[in-house]
Amino acid sequence: MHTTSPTEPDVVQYPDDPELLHRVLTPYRAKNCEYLKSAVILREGRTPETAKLTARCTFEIPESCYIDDTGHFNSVEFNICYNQMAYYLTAKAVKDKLVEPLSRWDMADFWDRQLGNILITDFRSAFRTEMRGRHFRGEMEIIDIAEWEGTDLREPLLVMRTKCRYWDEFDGDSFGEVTVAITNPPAPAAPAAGQ
Amino acid sequence: MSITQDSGPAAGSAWPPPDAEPVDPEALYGRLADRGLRYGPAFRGVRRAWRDGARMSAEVALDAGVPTGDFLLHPALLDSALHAAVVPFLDGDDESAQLPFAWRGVRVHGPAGRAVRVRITPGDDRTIGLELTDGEGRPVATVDSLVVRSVSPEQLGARGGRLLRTVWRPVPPATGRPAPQGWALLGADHLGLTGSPAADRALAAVHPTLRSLVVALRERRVPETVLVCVDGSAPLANALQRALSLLQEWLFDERLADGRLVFVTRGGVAVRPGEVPEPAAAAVWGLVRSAQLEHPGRFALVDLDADAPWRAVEAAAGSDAAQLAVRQGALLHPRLAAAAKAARPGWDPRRSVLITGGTGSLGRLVARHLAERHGVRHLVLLSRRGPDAPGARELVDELAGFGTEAKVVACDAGDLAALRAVVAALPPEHPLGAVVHSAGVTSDATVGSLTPRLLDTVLAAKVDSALALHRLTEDLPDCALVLFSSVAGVLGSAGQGNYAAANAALDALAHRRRAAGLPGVSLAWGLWADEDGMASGLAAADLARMARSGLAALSVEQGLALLDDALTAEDPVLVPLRLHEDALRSPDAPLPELLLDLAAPRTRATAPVADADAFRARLAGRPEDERAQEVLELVRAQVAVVLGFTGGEEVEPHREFSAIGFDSLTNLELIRRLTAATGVRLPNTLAFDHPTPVELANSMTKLLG
Repeated sequence: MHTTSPTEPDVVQYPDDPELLHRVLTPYRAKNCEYLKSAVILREGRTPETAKLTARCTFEIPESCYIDDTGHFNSVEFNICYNQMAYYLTAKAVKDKLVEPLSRWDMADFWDRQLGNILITDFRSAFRTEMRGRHFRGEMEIIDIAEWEGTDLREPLLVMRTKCRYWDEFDGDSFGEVTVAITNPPAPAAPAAGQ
Repeated sequence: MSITQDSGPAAGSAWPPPDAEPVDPEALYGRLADRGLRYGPAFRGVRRAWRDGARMSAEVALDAGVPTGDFLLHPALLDSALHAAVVPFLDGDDESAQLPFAWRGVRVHGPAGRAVRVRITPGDDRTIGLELTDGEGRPVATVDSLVVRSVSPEQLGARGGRLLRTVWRPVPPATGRPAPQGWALLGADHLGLTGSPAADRALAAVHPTLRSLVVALRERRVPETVLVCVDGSAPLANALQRALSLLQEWLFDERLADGRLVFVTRGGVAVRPGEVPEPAAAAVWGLVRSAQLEHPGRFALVDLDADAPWRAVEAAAGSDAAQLAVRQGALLHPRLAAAAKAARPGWDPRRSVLITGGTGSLGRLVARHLAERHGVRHLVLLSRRGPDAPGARELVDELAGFGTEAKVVACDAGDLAALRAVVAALPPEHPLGAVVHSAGVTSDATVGSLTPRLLDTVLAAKVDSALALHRLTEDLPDCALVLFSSVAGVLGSAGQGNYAAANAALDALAHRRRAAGLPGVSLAWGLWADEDGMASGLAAADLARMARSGLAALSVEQGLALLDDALTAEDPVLVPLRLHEDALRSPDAPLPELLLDLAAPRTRATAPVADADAFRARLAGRPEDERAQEVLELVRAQVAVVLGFTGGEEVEPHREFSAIGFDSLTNLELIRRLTAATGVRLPNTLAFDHPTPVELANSMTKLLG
């Protein structure tokens, strides 16, 4: 189910999907670090070929899962929160067929690959002002998903370039650019253009 | 005008004029040439010049080959004095030339001989006064008042455009670099480079995959030169995607920052007449040329013949040229040179001409030109939207005004069956005589952020449709296929690697057609100044960058005149464009290598190294805050150059780069310029991590140590 955002007519809004979120965060449960609490997905563009996806998320970190309370949002938590957003956004894109080429996957493809085949290849984070709140917001945007065919030099892979940002009510602000590779993608590449 | 002779005013004051700025005569003639005034060497009499606001001073001399004859003041000497005199009038943005119009009070005081000094003083409005003296300061002539008028290049009959072609010239032996110490081959050996004893001796490693190269990097076995073979017989899109993935890997890994990745092709370029390039290998050349512009020194291209491949590669690796061909053991590099014209048949007005992109900006111009100037009476204008394309109806009406019947058809030019249907519907008395493929799209991104999809988008519009049009016309031996490609394919284009690749493939297709005896030509257009064309997406910074690299925009008139010229020339690929004459004459403009034969002679680029040393020496031993200030001034000055501002003072120190118009391409250029200015290799992400001039300067100050 989705609704059209009243303020952005070309943007379709996919409300929080608690069931999907619960399943996506399963690997975090035993470690007591399910930080992502809700996520609304916005899809700009009418077809999966042209769509741009953004996840608008809320987070809560009651207690750090790896260090005593530092009093601020640090780069490890930045990364964990990013992973949770990225897993959820990818899963939702598969489930609701939101963007190419993830729209060609089924959910089994995603669950099979969630941990072993989704890898961060480049990660940049910048902290403009300190974030101190337990509750905060985050946003992640997929800039593009490149579908690389296999060659003599490397196996086929998807490369997802993303941007993210976090902020809290105390004017805390941090942002980053992250590239994610998905190895062993299920669908064969589209027929080549050019010849 | 009337001239009188008298003894003249009292002569003499300081020479050269104190406080005046020297003006480079080469640059001066470049600015005149930009406005359509091209002087041959014998008429370029300005030897030295100085400027102090609107006041000019110059030393002018007759060329050694020109006799003085009986003249008291040789006309060529007076003319040269005026070359310097008009300089202050060239400051505006318009492209008009400035010519002497009305003279008053002209007096000659004594014989001028072969050289004079001239002082030019501004008068009211557009008038100047001239005072000519000899080398001792004795008066030679005075002009009380000379009115200067603007004349447009069109009024001068100057076309401004040039019709060029690529020629391959022997590489001078002086440009040698030491043979690389560590060689590695990456990926499949499509060209048979390995297997000889020499190759086995020289190759430190063969890495079948990227993963194997990464292992070597981890073990600090970093090769200086990595060769990668391009399979020209692979499908074009696959070959291009593979090359792009390699370029990105190379840029991504900082450990490869000092290494050079050499793409080795066979049949990537047409070097000698009759050579037929493979479109896939040619496309890789276009892509890599663009990567070279974005990241100088990191990538090289070598095209081989069938002869002893390893020896050829070794020979090429000893050159520092970024683009080379090896033919029978000789090293050649590409240069643009003037194309010769020949007598070829023009447009046959009775036959139909099909134009793809027919309702687009270039397509419209061509349609109108063919109707108005060449009497073509039957046009088929293809466009994706057909008669619904904006302005289609008005265009048809306008063409009807010339007596031309134009039909606008919605058709995908890449769909051969649809194209055949269009041709089958032509009246038999007006069969297809020519096809002009002007359709194309751009989808710009730097090489580091191009994706397979961005490659495919541009390839589909440009190459798939060119191939379909080729098939459409290959059974029509007298139907010409005129492909509109882009100089981007020939020179590369920063931020347009995909577009460059597609256009290089079009040029290769033109060679193939010609080799098969089919008429056709590929026109690798420079930029057109039309407001609605693809150039309209260019920001001021893009235009400034293009100007620095020697390219200027063609006016519509210049472009159409070049179209007529090009269709009379022999070469299968021609480069019609306009060059920025100032940049050609500026010794430090970052010109593409292919333009160097058209530019003023320049010394090898040792100056930046010396400047970088001097810059670091200036910083050494100074207090932290002064160092930071110095670096900040450098950053602001370079930001100004990149964005086309007049000076660093226009760049606010605390404003984010993204807010003043920076994008990934301008970011790359800034980092490149700062690296050149400081001699310290700066990471490409520096302006992301430090998003204002002050933050960037502070970070650089630390890096500079």
